[in-house]
Amino acid sequence: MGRLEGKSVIITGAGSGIGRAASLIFTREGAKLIAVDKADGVDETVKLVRAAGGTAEAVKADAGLESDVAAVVGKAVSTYGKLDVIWANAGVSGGWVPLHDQTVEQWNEILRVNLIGPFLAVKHASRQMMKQERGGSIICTASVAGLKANAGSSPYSASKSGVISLVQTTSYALSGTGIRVNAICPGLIETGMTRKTFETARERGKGDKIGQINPTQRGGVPEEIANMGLFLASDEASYVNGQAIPVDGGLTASMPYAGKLRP
Amino acid sequence: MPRLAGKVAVITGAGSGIGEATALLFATEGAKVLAFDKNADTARATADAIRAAGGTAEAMTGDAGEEADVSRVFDAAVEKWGQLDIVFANAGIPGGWIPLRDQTPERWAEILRVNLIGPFLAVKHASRHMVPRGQGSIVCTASVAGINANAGIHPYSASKAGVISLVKTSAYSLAGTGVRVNAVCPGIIETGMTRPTIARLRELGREVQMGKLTPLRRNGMPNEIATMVLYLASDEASYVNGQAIAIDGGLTASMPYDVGQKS
Repeated sequence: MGRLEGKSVIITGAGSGIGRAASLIFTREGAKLIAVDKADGVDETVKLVRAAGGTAEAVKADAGLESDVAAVVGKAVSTYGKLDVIWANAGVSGGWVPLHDQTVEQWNEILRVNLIGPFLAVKHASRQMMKQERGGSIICTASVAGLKANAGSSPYSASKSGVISLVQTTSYALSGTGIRVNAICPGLIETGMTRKTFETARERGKGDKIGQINPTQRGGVPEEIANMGLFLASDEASYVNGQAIPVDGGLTASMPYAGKLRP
Repeated sequence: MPRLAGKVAVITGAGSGIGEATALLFATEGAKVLAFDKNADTARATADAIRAAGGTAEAMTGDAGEEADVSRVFDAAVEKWGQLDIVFANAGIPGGWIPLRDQTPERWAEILRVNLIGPFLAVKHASRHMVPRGQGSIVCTASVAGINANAGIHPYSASKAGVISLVKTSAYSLAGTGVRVNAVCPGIIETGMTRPTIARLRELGREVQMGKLTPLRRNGMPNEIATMVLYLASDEASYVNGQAIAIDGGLTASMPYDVGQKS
């Protein structure tokens, strides 16, 4: 029996990267999926899920727009009769813009998608979950950039710090409902968002240097984040709540350090 | 396919509580388990229970804070089953509720010896067997007491904070070896260790137990820690390293608050 057997699940940002990997793993474990993305990749994700024998529907929507998020929750309920899990995973990186070139408009757009998006997911998903009175699991994609500097631009990092705060405050706002709210903080994972970093390193012949500064000494793959999502989504994580858990090969376990100084 | 098929695990403090629950769960998932405890009867009972359920287990007695004993238990596992894949350094002592002014250096030294030097010895000697094979997962039991105040007396909290530090520093010491080192931070879990605390709260006439302060409004059970340890021990957690993960119903997501005044 699958670890998410019969659960109705929404994953945003399901068209690529971590969201696509999670879509495949969750449905393999028996979940029925609403795959959400603003990009066409979501159709391909659903095709892959179905080819593997899983159940999924694609929805094109903006995860930072309240009416879209409400509609996506409605779609899960109309299609599968309920909602058990939502993974608010959609996000934008905003690129590497130097501090003095950053604009208020850029900040607003990054905060809208990366932080207000997860807020809307918590708001609308929990409303449905509370009606069902069977609890639920809400997962948000934060980032190691939300914990420390040097993993993203200022607005990206601030948005991800906000997500970490959001899971703390909303887990308490949902006290006694049985709904758990947690975040995952991916480190350097090879996805569309980080592809440029990986490609640039490879072009310079430094592909083998990627991730060397973490103790696992490599970049991660989307499936390694999806596995943590699977754990948090499942009933096995029944006492895990309000947490932001890094999956980063150990990167955040250290401050910056000089080469071979490790004892 | 079981999630720990073919793996060899050593669990300290396996005679009761979280260690016992983890030993049983590991065996269900296909691991061969060496159950280590200072109490010979409870170690044997755990191994017997595993065998009765069709699993593979041996019991061993010793002191998890004594280098010779710790070294011996890993050698025994390798001698018996040819390899060592997983170590759960879980043995610990609470130290009671002694007011600050009554605490002695002797008491501190004993708590640090079992709770902190014990996990250090586990990392030191387990990695000796794991590094040559290029793989392994070490999980230590820390505590939410190692993150913030008011979950234990000073030496207990300091020892657990030390464990959180240990998994970070030793993850880097073992960089590139394929050995991962992580900690779990249980919140208020109903075990033999927390029974006196729960009893003390009742004595003080506190109707509100600590678990009720969490958004899940209950204490946790040993099996809810065991499932996280299973995840960290398995290959699913291949990019999780140097982390200390709280399983506490959300307790550490908040500072102290006035019950009834949250949003």
